[in-house]
Amino acid sequence: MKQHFLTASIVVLAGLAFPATAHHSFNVFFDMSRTIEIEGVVTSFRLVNPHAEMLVDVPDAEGNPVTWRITARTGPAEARREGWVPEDFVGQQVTVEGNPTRREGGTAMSAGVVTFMDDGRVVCLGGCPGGPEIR
Amino acid sequence: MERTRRATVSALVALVTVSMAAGLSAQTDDEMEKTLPFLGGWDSDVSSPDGQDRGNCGGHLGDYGEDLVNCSIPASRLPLNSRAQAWLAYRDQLQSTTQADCAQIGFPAILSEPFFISGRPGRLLMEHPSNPWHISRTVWMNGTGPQPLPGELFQHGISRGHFDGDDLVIVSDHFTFDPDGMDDHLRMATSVRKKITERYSLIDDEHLRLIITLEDPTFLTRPYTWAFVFAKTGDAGPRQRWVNCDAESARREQQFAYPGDKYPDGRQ
Repeated sequence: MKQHFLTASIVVLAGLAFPATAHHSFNVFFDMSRTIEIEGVVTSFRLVNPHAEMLVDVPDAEGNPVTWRITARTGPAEARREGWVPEDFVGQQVTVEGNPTRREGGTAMSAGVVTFMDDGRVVCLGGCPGGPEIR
Repeated sequence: MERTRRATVSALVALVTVSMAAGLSAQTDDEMEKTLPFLGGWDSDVSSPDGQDRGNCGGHLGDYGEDLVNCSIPASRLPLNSRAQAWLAYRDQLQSTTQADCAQIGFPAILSEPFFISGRPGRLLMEHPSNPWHISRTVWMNGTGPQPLPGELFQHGISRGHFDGDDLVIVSDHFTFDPDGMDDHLRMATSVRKKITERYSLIDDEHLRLIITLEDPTFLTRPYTWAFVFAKTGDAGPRQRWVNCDAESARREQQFAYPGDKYPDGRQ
């Protein structure tokens, strides 16, 4: 599994103020002060409430796929406005950079930046510059 | 003689009819005049400047000792009784009906959120959009509307309103038991004895103060009162763009990411 702990430094949250409508506290689930990166194949991308959800199969040390769950920091309407189409993501080899779950050994993160390996395209799933409205 | 009597009766009927119509019209006009300043959208001053923590959870901790954040109700001085303390000790994140099962957030937690009021004779429609829900409730004004029997319960209760001077006062009761009914981030419940009094007072043309009093003898030692200030946003909002919640995805969000393992045999 290719997993880089890019930095343990504090992520600058200035300008990322949540709207008062956030009822799933990211900070409880995810360590917003750390950023990690995974690489794998997108198996599912659902534009749903409360947050768009991407599943990525990441090979472990033996090469067996381990499912990572990526919680986008936005909802389906905002995702559609960004022009996201699930079919554009599913089956693609990507790297995903985001904040890891606080659960020990957990395979989840809040995204984050998705980079497509085939053409270098970059998509922000929320919480990064140029991304959609955070929900 | 008979003709005169008929004419008199007809005149009286007409007079009574006109008087009633005028009375109704006057009542409606008066009601509208009082209601008008409150109509439209309002946005709260509640924000979370560091990204998540509104600073309202009062030092309460979660299942693995994490600080609970983003509460809607100021929890530091909540007069919780010993039954409520036992409830907080028993509860865990994976049981959160609002966050793991897509249940609508309840009152009073929703009252920190932006809202929109539209009016009509005898009732107000209050809309409370909050991702991923959009809760609408009818506030029956001045004694109108249904009168539920004791024991007839609803998740959001039944709301009845009136004006006290220029203040709009709404009293809600007849709630069901709600596991997240006091605050979904505090994970504190409310019982069927919950009663909420909302008092909306205009500070000026652009701002109003909402004073909330929560009563629930099952979990509180005394009524608890707090307040929010809202700013007018006009007729455009707030609104919810797409209202739905995928319970399967919401539950996965908890199962994959929540670090606490309070009930290992009940992680599902």
